[in-house]
Amino acid sequence: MRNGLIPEALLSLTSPPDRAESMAGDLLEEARSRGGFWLAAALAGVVLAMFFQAFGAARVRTLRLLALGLVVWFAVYVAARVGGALIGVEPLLIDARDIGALPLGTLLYLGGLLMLANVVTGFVLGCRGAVNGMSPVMPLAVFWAATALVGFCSDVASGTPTWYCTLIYLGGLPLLYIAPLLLGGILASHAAPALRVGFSR
Amino acid sequence: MSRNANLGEFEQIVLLAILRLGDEAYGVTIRDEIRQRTGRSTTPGALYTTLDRLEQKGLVSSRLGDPTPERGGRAKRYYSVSAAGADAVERAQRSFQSMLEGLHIFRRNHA
Repeated sequence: MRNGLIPEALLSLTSPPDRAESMAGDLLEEARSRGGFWLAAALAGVVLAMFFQAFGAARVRTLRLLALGLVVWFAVYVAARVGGALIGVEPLLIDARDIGALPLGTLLYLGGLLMLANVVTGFVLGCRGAVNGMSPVMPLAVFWAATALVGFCSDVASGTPTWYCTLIYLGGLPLLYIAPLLLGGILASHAAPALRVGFSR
Repeated sequence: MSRNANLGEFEQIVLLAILRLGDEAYGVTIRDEIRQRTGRSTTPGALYTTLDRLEQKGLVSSRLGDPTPERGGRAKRYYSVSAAGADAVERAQRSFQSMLEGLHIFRRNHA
């Protein structure tokens, strides 16, 4: 198995597969002399630059995908919460003002539902056509990342950051939102041809 | 591609780097060439978006080479400047020269 699959997979979120392959090769070649930190920074820079280029070329379509993603995510999450309440797993309304005081079982339940909602959303978005070579899950992934960044900065700026809010912004959003969303998109890119839905690069 | 497509400064530098490198122009060597010739450190993101844009304008074309082990078995994407690209660089340079004509800003002798 060849190395550097993660950089190539990340680059393929914003570029067609053949472009992602050659760009990943370039970055891996340079990283041999510059190191892993440079590779991570360069990778993030390329993904963001390609995302904003695709967004600039197709603003309306990108925003539509973001809106669709938010609607699907909200619908799936609410449906799962209602379903969970109906079968008696957890009540529909959970007092989350002090997240740190919630029982572990409740936290795992809420985290699991968030992951499920994002995987399903990623799958639904992933079955739609790419935007200028950019994966259709990227608008929502960037939105979640921006939400985490803004939330974290606001929390720090407030002067009273709490450990659980910091954990949610820096760990929870990437783990419960972004990673499952990308996973759903990748699953869709493999399953869509078999399901004969319109995934294309 | 429009004949009147204007080139930005960085687009001109990238096109000139590709022309200088000939058959060896791919992401890593283009960045090295720009760094050596201009002293400018270019981010990979800026280079790839520019190459992408130039290719969409029809000013450069690309082809895949053979996979190499130091790249994790991935192929290099080699770029070459099209005739339209060479014309665009020439036009941009002529415009630049025309703007410089008659100016003596680079004279070292201030006597």
